[in-house]
Amino acid sequence: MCVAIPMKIVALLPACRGRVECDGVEREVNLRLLDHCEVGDYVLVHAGYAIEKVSRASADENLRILEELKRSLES
Amino acid sequence: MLITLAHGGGGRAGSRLIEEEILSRFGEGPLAGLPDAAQLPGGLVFSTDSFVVTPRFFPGGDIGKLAVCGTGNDIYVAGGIPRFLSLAMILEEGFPRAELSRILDSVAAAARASGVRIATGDTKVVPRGAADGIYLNTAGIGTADTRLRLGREFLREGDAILVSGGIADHGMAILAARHGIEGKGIVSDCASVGPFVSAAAEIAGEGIRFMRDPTRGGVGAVLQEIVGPSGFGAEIAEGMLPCRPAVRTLSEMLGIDPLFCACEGRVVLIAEEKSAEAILEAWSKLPGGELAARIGRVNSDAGRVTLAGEWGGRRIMIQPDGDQLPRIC
Amino acid sequence: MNSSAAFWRAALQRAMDGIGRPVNLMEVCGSHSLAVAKYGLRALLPDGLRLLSGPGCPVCVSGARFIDNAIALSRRGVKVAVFGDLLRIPGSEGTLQSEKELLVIYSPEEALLYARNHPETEVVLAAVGFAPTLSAGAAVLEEAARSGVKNFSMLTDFKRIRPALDMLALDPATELAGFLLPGHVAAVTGEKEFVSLALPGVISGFAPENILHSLYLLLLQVAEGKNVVVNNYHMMVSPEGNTTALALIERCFEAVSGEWRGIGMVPGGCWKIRKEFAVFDAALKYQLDTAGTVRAPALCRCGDVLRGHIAPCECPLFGKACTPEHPVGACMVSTEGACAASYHYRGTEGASC
Repeated sequence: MCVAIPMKIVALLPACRGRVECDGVEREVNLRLLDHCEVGDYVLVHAGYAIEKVSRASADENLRILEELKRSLES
Repeated sequence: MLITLAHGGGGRAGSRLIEEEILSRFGEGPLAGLPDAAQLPGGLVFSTDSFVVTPRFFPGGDIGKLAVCGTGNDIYVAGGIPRFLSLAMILEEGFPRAELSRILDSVAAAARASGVRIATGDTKVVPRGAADGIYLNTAGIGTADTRLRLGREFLREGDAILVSGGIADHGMAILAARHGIEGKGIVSDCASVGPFVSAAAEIAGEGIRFMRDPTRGGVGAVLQEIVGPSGFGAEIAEGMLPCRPAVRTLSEMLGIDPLFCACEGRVVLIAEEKSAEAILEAWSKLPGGELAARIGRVNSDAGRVTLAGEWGGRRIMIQPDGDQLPRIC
Repeated sequence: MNSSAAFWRAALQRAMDGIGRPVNLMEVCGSHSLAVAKYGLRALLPDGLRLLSGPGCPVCVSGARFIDNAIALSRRGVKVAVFGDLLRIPGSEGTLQSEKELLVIYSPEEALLYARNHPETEVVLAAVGFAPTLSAGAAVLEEAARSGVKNFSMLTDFKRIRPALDMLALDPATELAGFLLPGHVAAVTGEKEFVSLALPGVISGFAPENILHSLYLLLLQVAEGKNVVVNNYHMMVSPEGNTTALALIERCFEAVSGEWRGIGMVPGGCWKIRKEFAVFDAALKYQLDTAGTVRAPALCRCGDVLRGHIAPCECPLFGKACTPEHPVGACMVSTEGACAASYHYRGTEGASC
């Protein structure tokens, strides 16, 4: 429904803009929708805007279910 | 009814227009079957193409290089070796002379590199607003490569379908330039396919059944064109389609399927199975051929291109109508 | 087929064995539909598990009236900036693609930039979309207001997905058992947008493994009779979402009731530009009729297809008045729409009729 990809901020530019990169593809994006960003942050880019930061959080509960499933299907 | 951009996009609308307006009038003789280039008496191969690309300069090439390689490639994939080109220019009043010089330098360099001579030409200037800067047309004459014998009638079930390098590089480079996207990974594949065709001809000779260069509409459109009237089908493994990481990323960013995105220096080649590996090996050593791959096989499913998903499902390929444009969803 | 495929086929089969009756799930999002088709994931679904394609393609559910208005503006000499996927959407008489005054954009910013660089040209950004595109649209609207640009305005048909899901879920005759929820919408709205739906939901990303994992989590809920929203896209989706973007949306737009193609009136399912930004509202600036609906032909049964009541070919228009070249309802517009897919795959494995 919404084409979007995670990209890494490689430079912060004036007027709430930044340069982002992924696999040798670079573009300028608007960072106005985010509170605070730094070089090195990963952001989700949609239609030229960074719409959310990518976090390192993982879903422990979902992963636990997945591990359990793997164990039970293997046995 | 009016002509829309979709009519020029290499999709279904364009095919219908050509059927109804061109084939109905000129469908007999050399134009029958709409080859990339016509086979003329005396072993001559003849083709023409027009170039209206925006932007005129892009990473990896420009409209001048494209005009030479594009027509040359049409002759190569029809089993010819291009010898002479015509060059016709339509210029808009006010077009910068310096830019024209740059484009013509590029024409000269590309012609030298692929061993063709510019033999005749024409220049027209139209009033401001009547054209967008510069349009080029080239027509080319080549001589038949006697090692080859090409035709859909030689296709057989089980033949291998090969592509000579990463797909969609040109189309993605153009789209990226139009939307302010850059980066070291973005570069058009604009080049002559001569070395690839020649290497394959040396290895497989008449074991090569058919070739096309996947320009407008990309590999997808070309596969459909090949099998459409052939009595055979093509089964393509989606996971085997070679794509450079930057192209993959761009396709996800812009919502564009690389399968239907133009190449300007690749060839889709169908060969007997036993020559396939040797061709791929030779290709992979040529500049631009690093990602050369087997993408599928000919089957008996007449007129149909089937895509086999990486996770098991199969679906019939549906060609988009006209050029692909950036999507938000 | 890869080894993970065998694993997931077995996992989904086991979950279905635990349920013991047929289950219809809906992938709400068009990008999920695309991934399911592209990777061939339907081949891994056990008998009895059906995955229906939902209304989550904002372009497909845009009304004919919106397209008609964009065409009318272009014919009045206004430069209309649109996303590429809007060009083939049918209005009541035709599509945008044969119009002259078009600017195809990737980012809504390109429209504002064009207006600034061409002060003599009137520019209208014609935009549709869900929360991600809506937040970009809101940013452009506020930027336009800040810069005081005079020749720029917006014709919008932004949609809110939640009320449409409520309509589908609360329908007493619904055959749906759960939703695969849109990950990128949820990145902006947060998990909270999807709490207390009448059916279970799992927020999913778009990688094949992630989708299969999410379907499994959804079946677990069905098996256990649970009804919660599970977040299976933690890298992108937080409980509260992007609060900066949500606040901006709230400043610029208000939720109103409006028409979805093929579905009808969805209470609270559309967004309208707030009156503080009225000078940038193209509907007011050019006095366009946006309220009057263009009625879908009475026989269009998109809504029933979406609810899982009927298969596409059971609709009387299917393949006759309604084809991919001349679509009537939303499900025929997008290649991944339930009806379009069914039309293209007639007579092959994976066909739904």
